[in-house]
Amino acid sequence: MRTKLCIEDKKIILKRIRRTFRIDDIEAGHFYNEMEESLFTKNKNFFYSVKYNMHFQTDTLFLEKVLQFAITTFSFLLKKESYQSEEKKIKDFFREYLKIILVEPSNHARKIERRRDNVQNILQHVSEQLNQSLDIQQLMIANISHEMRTSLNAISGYITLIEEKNTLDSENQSYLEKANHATYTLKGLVSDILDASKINSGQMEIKEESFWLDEMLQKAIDNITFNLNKKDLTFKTDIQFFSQKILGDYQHIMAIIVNLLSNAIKYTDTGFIHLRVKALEETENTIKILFQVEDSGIGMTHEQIEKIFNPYSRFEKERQGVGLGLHIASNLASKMGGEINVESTPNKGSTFNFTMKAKQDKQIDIDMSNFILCFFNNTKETKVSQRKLDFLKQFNAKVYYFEDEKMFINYLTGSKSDTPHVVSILSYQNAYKRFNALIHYLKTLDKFQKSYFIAEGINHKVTLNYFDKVYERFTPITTYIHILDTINKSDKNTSTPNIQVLRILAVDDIETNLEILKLFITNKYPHITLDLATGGYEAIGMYKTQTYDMIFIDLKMPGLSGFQTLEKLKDIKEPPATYALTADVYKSTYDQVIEADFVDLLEKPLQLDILFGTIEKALNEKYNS
Amino acid sequence: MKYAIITTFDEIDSLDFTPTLIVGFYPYEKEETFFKFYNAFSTHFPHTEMIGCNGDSLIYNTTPHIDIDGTNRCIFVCLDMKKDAYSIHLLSSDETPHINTDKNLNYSAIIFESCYTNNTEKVISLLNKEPNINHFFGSISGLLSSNTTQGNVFYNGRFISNKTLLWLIDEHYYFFKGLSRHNFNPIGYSLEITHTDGYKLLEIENEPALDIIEKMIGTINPDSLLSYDHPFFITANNDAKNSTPLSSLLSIDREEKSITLYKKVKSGDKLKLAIPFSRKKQESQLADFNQYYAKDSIAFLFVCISYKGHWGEMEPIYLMHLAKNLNVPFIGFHSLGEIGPLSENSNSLSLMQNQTLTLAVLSERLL
Repeated sequence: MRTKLCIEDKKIILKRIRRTFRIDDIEAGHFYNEMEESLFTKNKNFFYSVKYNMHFQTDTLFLEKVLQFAITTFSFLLKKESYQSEEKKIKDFFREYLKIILVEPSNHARKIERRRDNVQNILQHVSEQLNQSLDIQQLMIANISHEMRTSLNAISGYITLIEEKNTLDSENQSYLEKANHATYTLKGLVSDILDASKINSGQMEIKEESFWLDEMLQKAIDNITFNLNKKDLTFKTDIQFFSQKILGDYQHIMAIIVNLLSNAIKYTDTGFIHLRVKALEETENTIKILFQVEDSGIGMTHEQIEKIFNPYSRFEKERQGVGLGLHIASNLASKMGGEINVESTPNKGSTFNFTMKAKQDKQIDIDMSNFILCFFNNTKETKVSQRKLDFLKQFNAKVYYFEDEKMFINYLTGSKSDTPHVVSILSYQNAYKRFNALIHYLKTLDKFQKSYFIAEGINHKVTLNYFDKVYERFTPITTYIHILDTINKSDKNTSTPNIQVLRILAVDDIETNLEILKLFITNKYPHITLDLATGGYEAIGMYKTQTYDMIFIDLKMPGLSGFQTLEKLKDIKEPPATYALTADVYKSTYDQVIEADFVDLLEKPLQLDILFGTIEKALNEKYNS
Repeated sequence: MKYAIITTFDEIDSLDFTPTLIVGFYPYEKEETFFKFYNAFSTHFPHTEMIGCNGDSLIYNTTPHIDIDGTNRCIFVCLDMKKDAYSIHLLSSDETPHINTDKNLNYSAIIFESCYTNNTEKVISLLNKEPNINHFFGSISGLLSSNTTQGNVFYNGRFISNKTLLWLIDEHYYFFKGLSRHNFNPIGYSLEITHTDGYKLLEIENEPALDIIEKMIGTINPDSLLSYDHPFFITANNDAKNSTPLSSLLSIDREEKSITLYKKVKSGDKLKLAIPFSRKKQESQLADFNQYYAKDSIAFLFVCISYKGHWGEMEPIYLMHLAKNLNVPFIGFHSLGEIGPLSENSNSLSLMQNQTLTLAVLSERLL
């Protein structure tokens, strides 16, 4: 019985193997030997080798080559008279070969398809189950956060009131500060959990409002000052002067910057934190801004950087927080079309870069024609000053600019010159004490009684008690606008009665909330009358008999909800500016609020500046219209 | 350590050393052939001990199944081990298992189970608790006990049913190292098994078990059962370490609305659905076995019978891949359950699971 092919045929087949599969003599020899053994014995190793090679093969034409080799080789063998007695064996071998390379893979593919259907079924079911559970979880988070925010509202309100009374001794005062700090932390946590939940459920709403970038930065820095001062860190800012108002989500952009700065403080024990802000690109309508926070903190490894934006990633568990901040920040950034990236070296520090593109708000309605400003600058820095001067002149402000100290002092002390509303000084550090004394003198003069004195570029702690405002870098544009507003108001106040009266109706089922709201409002605005209703029907009764200038309604109340209450009020008469109060700050809630004709939504716990802002708006509308 | 792998009688004559222990595997209805081998070995080496286990079909290195010529051969590895460095124990399933070990020594072990019983879990738990047993592996023989003609394990001339064969080796001289790998991920929520009867799950979350399972995975057809498409992760109710072994679905009963697994379950145990890894991950985890290469070693490979079903087409490819990359010869068989650790971590428990490739490499310690 034959166990081998003829030597001439072997040579031909070997050549064909080498040429078809482009392999060397040794590999071709091995391939041939396995094939020959499987052809004449029951050893199936050859088939398994082909199968194995087909599986791990990267050459897409491999199957075609295997098939081509099979057809040419076996037709060649079958044609040979010398193998006539082996014809059945060769045919069986060829059949088995085709089975291995064609039939089995196609059967297997069918099985795989069936299994894929099974897996698809499982995944679909599990995904439905998970979605259901996520919906329940979201509802649960919304409810819990509502309750927590309501309670926190009360706690922080009472703390503020106790602080304002200023009746505690120093020991109790320190306990109160601790309670206040803990409440602040808890508020942040509830807010983070809610934000993360909103982001994950696609409920995070991105607003487009117009604001001054430098004012927002100032607020962001104010926000972190408390924690910054607890550590011995050098905080440096390098902020380009922005003369534009931009359109964007003020709260969210500030939240990202505060988060990056807070993180830097959290993970830096010694050294510095450096905030840089600059425009990367500017077109007629848009501006691309880089906010960069560099620190000399603990830094991160590559592995840590990869996980840094995942929720609940925190590298040193003893540091405060749950690790949601950067997850939220990066999601917010991408929702606003921006991005956050990070470079870091362990034990050296990290640099977070937040870049975003914003639209420029060209509609700036300011008239500075009666505004007089006097600038002194004897430093080398003239670029920013020039931009600021150009900006102010653009709105018709009258600007005096001095680089010579003598001429500056002559102007201020001269009797014929205009009295500036603002005197701004940018000089070398050792000169400020001298200017402080000059301002002390100027403030004794009648003509400077209403002037504001500003020191810019103060790099270290200098006591400048006669300056009205002191800035480490440049004065934000909004400072000039606020001063201008104050001047305009005081001019008007001379001709209008000083007492501004409003009547407000507040509706909330939780009496503590009403009590706090009343204390906040009446402390700041003693001439405002605030009527309180603990439910929708009570509010309707009061509304029928009284005329109100504004109304606050809690959305979640037993009996009539906030929405139903407003509907009923509308049936009686056209209501004044009505604001919704709620702890459920999902996008869907916001949309419903606007749909229901509320002017806006105030989040609980109430932020005093926002609350007072709405009241100021109502006062302006009542007395300036 | 000298060793030789024997599959024919002729090879016995050509052995150039006297083995101290022979480990053999025999397929279904080949007990007679196996016994003939035992006699031949006994004639040549009268003082040699021999243990064996029944397998669904046998595995030998590069060839996926040993029965290449359709003769259902038996396979043996003859080992020249130091006499005092190993011991063989037979643990009865009727009694509470007890293992005698020298507290001054450390051990590795292999167990061959004639069939899966309550005792299997007891023995596994006992071995996991024994502080001086560092590594252990094992397998449930490849035949359901109802198909047994003589016995599923073999010890020195006797086929035995309902017993556990324990092969302990002294780690001062030799050791076993290796691991188990399966190709599934748990998915979805844990479901509580609320009513059982042995291997049978009657109720899950207080509803008929089959209804619940089919609601999640669709209608189970006989093809999927034969190819072991639907394993589940089962966590014992009292399992403090929260290990989640994988168990295959053996059968379903539409009238009773029950499902039966290859593993006993109790009320309170938790069940999770399993979906297979991607092909890429299946292939890449084969590389995990390569770390167990050691010169002059021999490996035992226990492969779940599902590999002939669920992974059918892929099994020879995977085994060939293992043979090409591990560089240690292996013998083994298809089993109804494998015992091994799922991680290289020394604290990882050895578990009894289905649908795994379990490798145990026997090496001699260089003194």
